[in-house]
Amino acid sequence: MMRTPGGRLAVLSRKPAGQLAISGGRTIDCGSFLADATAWAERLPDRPYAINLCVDRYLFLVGFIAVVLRGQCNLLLPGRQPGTIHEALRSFPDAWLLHDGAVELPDAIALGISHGSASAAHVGAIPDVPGAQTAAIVFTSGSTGAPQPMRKSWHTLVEGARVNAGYVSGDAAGGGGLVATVPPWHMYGLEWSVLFPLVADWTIYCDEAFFPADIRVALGKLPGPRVLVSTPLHLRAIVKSRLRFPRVDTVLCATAPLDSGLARDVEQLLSTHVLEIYGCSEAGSLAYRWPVRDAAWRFFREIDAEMSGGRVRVCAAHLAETVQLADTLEFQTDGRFSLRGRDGDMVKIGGRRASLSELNNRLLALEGVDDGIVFYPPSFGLEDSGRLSALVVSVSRSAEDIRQELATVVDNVFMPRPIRLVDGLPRSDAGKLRREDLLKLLHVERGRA
Amino acid sequence: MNHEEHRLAALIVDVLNLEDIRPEDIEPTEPLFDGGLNLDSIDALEIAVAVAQSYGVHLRAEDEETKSVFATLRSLSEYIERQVSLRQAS
Repeated sequence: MMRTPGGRLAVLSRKPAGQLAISGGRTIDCGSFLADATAWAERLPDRPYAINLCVDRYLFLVGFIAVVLRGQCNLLLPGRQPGTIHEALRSFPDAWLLHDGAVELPDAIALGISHGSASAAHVGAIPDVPGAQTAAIVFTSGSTGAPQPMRKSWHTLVEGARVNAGYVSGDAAGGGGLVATVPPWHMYGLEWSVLFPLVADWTIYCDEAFFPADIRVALGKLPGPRVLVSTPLHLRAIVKSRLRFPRVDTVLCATAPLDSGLARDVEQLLSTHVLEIYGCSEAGSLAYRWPVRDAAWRFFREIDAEMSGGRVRVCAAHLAETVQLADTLEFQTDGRFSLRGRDGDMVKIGGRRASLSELNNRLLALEGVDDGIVFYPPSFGLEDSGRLSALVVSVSRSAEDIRQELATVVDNVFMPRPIRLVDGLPRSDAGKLRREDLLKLLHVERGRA
Repeated sequence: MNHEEHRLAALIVDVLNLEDIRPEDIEPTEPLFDGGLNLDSIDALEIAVAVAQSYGVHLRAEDEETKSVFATLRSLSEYIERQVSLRQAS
């Protein structure tokens, strides 16, 4: 990263003439992007925190940088539910809403941004901002349950992106094209589809790339080499689609364990190699493996890992502090490692992480709910799309009623399916619930339904 | 609910493991996503894959049409029928 005096870092550190994005079918070069971002930056409300709710990837990127240029901070929420937005506004009362018209907004100060509507200012030099500025706050479910805000300095974001870029660009320093199937507001998507093209000469495809047929079109529109940033869920859909795809140089996969058989199928279909990325919201991407060749993971060279009291802690030049990992790692003598399970409270569905105790607290907080539990269904862990189940004791409310209220504060992927009303939970004398008893009860109630 | 809608509803119930719901419970004109069955984007992906495998029809989010196509069971069923007959005609 180009360092400027006073610890300032440029918002773009790549060749300014290059193509940054494809959006609305048009190619957008770095200069037009900077003109968009600086023009919007001048129009932002004068407040410290912007809840960035943009869904369009290009507008998210423009908004993100406009907020940073203005000296403000992007709040990146885990979901887009009205209750989630309300909670963020309660925790950050001086926040405002940055959006692109795709999300239902509560009553708060808001600014909608759109394509090509800011006055196109000519930008001379590439602007820079203090590296120490908090550019984004992302939220993760901490082990205590409540979402924990994690502050990311501009320095951490850009230096981290540069580390990441080194693992895919390699000899392709001339750049290429990126397609991401993951949203830009979670850490994995933020790093690889928003920050990566700011530090390397790559073009990010910003139109739809969700369904296999969209992904195929996206890949076809990009210059090579091509990188696909994706998840096991999307890769499985790609393989099952039986479509033909352009050649992809590297597929990155994260958010859930990737089966090596699926990795092999993807490598064949896309004439590619699939790298699986390991990381966490607290520290970003940390390690990689090539699942068809080697089941073991390697930390990026820039990451230092150490064991401490049975837990692994990582540090790096771009991280503000040491991060303790929630996973149990088993090291080999050469430093490679295997993942040995996660903290039992955490669930991961569709690439998003949540705390079971938080979900339970949400359920129990509903009026008229006397007792209840959210837990793993029997098949959980086999498929990334496995869902949670809930058993609820309530005399005054229906399961449908409970579902509707819960949906205002819980991300759809974590919504229990089914929610079953029961007369009581099989709690032991100590108040504990045994998994076998819950599954039995779920089974009995299923038979009755 | 016509025959084609019932076939598609059965496919959706099966692929999404909607064990609480029978195919005939899905109201053809109710929203599939916001409200209604309360499906999400993961479900959309699962449905798209199942539709590709069962009908050979590939849904795209980029088509302006797709948002309205995914609106209800009826709109999705009609879209699939149109695509299938277009393919047969060509």
